[in-house]
Amino acid sequence: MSHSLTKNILEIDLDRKTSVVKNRTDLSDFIGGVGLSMKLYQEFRAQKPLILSIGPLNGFFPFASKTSVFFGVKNKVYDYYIGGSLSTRIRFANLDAIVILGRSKGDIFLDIQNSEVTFLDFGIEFQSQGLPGRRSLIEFKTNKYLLDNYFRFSGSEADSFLNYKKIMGIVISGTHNFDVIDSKEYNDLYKEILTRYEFLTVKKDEFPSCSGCPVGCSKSNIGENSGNFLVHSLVGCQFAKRLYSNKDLLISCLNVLGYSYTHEDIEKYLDTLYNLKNEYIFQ
Amino acid sequence: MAKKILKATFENRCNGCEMCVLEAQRQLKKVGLSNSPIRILRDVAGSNLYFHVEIEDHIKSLNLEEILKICPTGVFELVEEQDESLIN
Repeated sequence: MSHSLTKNILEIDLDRKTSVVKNRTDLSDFIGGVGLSMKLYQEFRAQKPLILSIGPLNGFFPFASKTSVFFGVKNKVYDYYIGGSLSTRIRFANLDAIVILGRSKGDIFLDIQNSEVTFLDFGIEFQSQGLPGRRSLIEFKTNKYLLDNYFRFSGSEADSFLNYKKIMGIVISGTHNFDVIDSKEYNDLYKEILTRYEFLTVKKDEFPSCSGCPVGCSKSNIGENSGNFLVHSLVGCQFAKRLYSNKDLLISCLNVLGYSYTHEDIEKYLDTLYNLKNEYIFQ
Repeated sequence: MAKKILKATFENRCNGCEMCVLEAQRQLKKVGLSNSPIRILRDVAGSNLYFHVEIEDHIKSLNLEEILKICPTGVFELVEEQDESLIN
């Protein structure tokens, strides 16, 4: 796997019912997740964006199983993190972020398959959309949105914002496979991380789990908000914070995937985020 | 000696983590969900979420022990393949 630092951003315009994928080299300093979202929010702020983003480890390493959900209401910004299968579907759609702009005139469903977006009218049999085994389904149920009927956002503001945009559901299917070039090094690192259960701050349980996380913890469906910028740039789970805030391990993971980020790059990146953060009022 | 095959005998234990799907794909030197010999399908009943495990025939070429081992809930077992010619 040799990754360029290009970020693939899917922009969806609800007002015009159009979409486009842009391959952005100018976003290479923004590793992913909350960092990428903050930068994109700055760019699209006037169009009231809802930004779903992942980090470089999602889909590739265990415990990196969340998706960053970023949006602003009035002068406040919200960074939420939702679990389930969403981050792997965005990864295997070969996207780094999905930016949903504007507001639909009527209730709408979005069917995203890799870089293609279909705008579906409300009333369609939405549960049958997407590719079985390769999809994630976010749907409005009674008074809140659920991902795969179980996982939810950590705050009602995300539900209200999706509802404001008149999005009744989103299904995302990803069919992209990445080739493993240095198979042994990648596999060894993957298995090594998998053995580090003691670094997790949550116990193994029997609840539905997030994709790429074997733990099945009791908190998988709750989601997260705010927290460690580095972990939420990856986008790792907060319960694996002690694992992925280890910069040596992180660099090893990034390098085996073909990213050339160094310790200095990461320090510089975090400084940039803290400066950017000062522009916003985080909730 | 009879050949062993992978069976999702305890499918009701599946937590949907897809570690088995990703393990199978890694053995094929891929990271992704497409053309995987295992697929996890989600099924909703009321407010509950259930998982259905689909295993394709081409899984036979893989290291099945490793797939069995990576499952955190013990969904799989290795069973001896039935010789169809003896049944018919």
